[in-house]
Amino acid sequence: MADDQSYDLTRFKATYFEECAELLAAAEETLTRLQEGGASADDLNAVFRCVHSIKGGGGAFAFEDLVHFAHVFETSMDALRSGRAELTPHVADILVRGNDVLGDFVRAAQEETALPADHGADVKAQLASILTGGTPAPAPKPAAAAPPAPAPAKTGFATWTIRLTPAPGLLKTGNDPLLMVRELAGLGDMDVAVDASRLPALAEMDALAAYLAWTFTLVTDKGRAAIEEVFEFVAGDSADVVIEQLGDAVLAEEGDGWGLFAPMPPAADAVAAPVQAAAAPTAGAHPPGAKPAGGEAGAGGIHTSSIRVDLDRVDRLVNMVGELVITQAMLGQQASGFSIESHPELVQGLQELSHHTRELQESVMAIRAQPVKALFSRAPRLVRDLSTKLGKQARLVMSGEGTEVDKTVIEQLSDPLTHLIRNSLDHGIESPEERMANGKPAEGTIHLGAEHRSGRVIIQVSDDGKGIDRKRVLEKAIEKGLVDRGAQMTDEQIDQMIFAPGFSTAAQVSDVSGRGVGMDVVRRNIQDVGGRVVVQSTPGQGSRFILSLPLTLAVMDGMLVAVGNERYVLPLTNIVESLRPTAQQARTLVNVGDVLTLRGDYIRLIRLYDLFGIKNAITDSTRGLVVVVETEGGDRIGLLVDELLGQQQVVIKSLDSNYRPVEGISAATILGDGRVALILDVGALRIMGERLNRAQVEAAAAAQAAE
Amino acid sequence: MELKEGNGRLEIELPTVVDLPVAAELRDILLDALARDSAADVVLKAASVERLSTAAVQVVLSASGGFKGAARRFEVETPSAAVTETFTQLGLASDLQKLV
Amino acid sequence: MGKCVLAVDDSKTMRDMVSFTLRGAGYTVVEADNGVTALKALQAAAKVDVIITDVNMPEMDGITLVRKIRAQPQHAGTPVLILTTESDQSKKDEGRSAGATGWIVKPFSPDKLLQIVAKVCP
Repeated sequence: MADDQSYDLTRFKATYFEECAELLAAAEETLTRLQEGGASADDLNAVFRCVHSIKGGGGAFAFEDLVHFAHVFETSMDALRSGRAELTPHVADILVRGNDVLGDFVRAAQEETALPADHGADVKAQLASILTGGTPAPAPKPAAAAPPAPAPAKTGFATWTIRLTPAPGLLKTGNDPLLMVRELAGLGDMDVAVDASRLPALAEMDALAAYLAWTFTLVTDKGRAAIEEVFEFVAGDSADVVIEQLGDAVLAEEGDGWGLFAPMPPAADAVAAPVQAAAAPTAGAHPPGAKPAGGEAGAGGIHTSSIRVDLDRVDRLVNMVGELVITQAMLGQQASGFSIESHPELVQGLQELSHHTRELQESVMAIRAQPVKALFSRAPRLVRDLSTKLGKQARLVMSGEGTEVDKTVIEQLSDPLTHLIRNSLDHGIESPEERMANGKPAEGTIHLGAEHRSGRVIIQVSDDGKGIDRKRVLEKAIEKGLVDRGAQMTDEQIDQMIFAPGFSTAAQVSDVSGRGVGMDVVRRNIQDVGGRVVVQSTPGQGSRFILSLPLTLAVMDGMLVAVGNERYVLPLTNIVESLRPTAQQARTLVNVGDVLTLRGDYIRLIRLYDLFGIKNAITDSTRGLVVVVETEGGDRIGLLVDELLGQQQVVIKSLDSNYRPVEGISAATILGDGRVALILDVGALRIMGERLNRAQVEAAAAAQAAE
Repeated sequence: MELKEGNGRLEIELPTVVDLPVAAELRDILLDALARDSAADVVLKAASVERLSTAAVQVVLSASGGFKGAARRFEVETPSAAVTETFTQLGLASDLQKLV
Repeated sequence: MGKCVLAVDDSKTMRDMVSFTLRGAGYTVVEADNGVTALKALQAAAKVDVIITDVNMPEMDGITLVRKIRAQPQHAGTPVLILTTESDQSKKDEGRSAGATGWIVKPFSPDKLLQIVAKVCP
């Protein structure tokens, strides 16, 4: 085995920091509950364990500052859980701050940066004061690192007499005198004398009790400490151990002798006389030192219910399965010419392959799925802190925390969700006075919910506040030139304006929602993970933000369309319908451009060949096909394509990481025949289409003016 | 582990590991052998023992006293190296010699 | 046959360190993250020679685990070591009265761990 120096601790550090992150989050969640006054003994124990584990690992890596702080924290938690200190709201606040500071120490250790020497000193003092019921007290002495093992006294050889008298219960603690004898014999030259006088008759005997006692005579150059160490686990409670150096008799271990609490076994009866008089030392007791255990592998395998796997490995697996899906699609296409009559096994085999591939894919995706709980856990604190800051009263109701979604989606949603909650508190929930004046309870409610709905995850943030002030939104939109004055807009369209780039409803950039991040960034973030966000609002009753997210980022159901020689994929979730318009339906309006009339509504028509500059495409809309799609904002647009090639599942390959972002394109995929197809971003197409249209209309107007 | 009658003797074959639970079992079996109204020799076959606990050694010692008191022969047959070593280390080498 | 150690700790870091060290010395290691899973693992294992358990764990703590192990006749003598901290004299005592064989003080060096396991491993 390697010695301490070459023992590479770094290999465990990654696990430790990963674990710390989980523990800190768990502690925060529980502490939040404590703050709300819902403390249970289990909660206090749980936080104690979190801090204890962080300290334990930190000690192994010698993160001294971290361990010092964690120790103070742990001591306070221990006092709280054992009832020696009282949990008051003030104490709960201190604990929350303690957790934050502990997080600072963990981060500093992870990033190998140094924190100021007095970092968190105030919180540390406050934590320590919990023990004294609020009076600031000096921090308890930090946990000392394991003291260096006392060096064996090199006093030359000495002769020792050691008497070992086990208590009856010694064997039942899993200790065996045989192992001690072997260990002791390893220290030097030893004689053994056994005393079997206590051994009862078989009928009287408890086979699990210890009856034999020994006297050892040991010649060794190791000191007393080495001998004491042999009996470390038994001296005192489990055995009477007397260690005497020749000519210098000292009682080494004098605990409560076992005789104090365990009656001597009854004396042997008359029938048997099992006494073995064996006080004389037996010769030849020089066994070799204790053999190191181990060697070959063996023993049964056991499966724990979960394993921890590096995310990279899962991603590699996801990628490989993605490739497999492509290969399978390719094989299916190649074999489409074969009939089941001519090649029954091939066709059947391919069908099974397709089935299994799909199942494999779903299983792999499930590995990445995580409950949204991790995402929601920060919300209670956010709501509490913000409502205090804003002078509002709000309570948070959560539902569906167990709903699972891809890990990446969860990570990406953290910021947008925080922003939406801030927004609800800042702009939605009114002040208590205003609420009461309007006949509402003083305390507002924010509901954060998650659920699965038709293959997607729906996350909602709703409040019972004042709703969106449409008049002001419209004024602002006009002022910012986002809409034309006099434009006819539905209430829904006005509501969605808050997501427009550069739009900010706050008259003054507030401390809370401000920071230059608008709802457009929220939408962008959500779109980045293939999601959509819409808002519903009822004046005076509240707003509801609805986030619709894909279960996974890696695969998508798409419709393959042809434009000229190019192939594009339209996300199936965006498609409303497709049709070949009549000449009456497809019209060009002055000052507007190409539109499609559909059941009395005008829908903007976007010619994909025009947008992407594709030749050999069908330009006459009555000869091509129009796919009507809906953007996340609820807008409908028509896309002119040559034809629909069929629905298929595609593996998403990021353009950003493989190439660069391209406007109107969200990602790429590889088709069954090996060709690359681009996946269209419907929302971006609408904006591009409008821009192109405006340019064309202006050019036409300029041409007209020139004539 | 069980008590078998063979060659006019009562035989007990010890397993490879004679730990604490096995020692308790051995004690019950030996008690059974001692209680039988028989003059048959009792033999512990110890050839395959790899590990012998102190608890088991105590049982063997106590049983040997019991059989001696009943004027019956109690024997440890073909003790393995582990058996000899354990008795020796516990200072009971001569006691084992009397049983072999 | 190699000796088998059951390592019980809710901290993955600790389990990793114990496992890595013991495996390097030729032991087979089975892991569990609390007392409940440890009892299941103990039941499923062909044989366990030594058990090392943390004290503070969710579901079932280490002291309770020791008691439950000792209540099983086949584990009356199985060595059980508790992982504890230097300051935890009370835990050592509590562990001992529950039937623990001994303790390993955290933080520990790999050598210390191996030494203690060898000390109690039958």
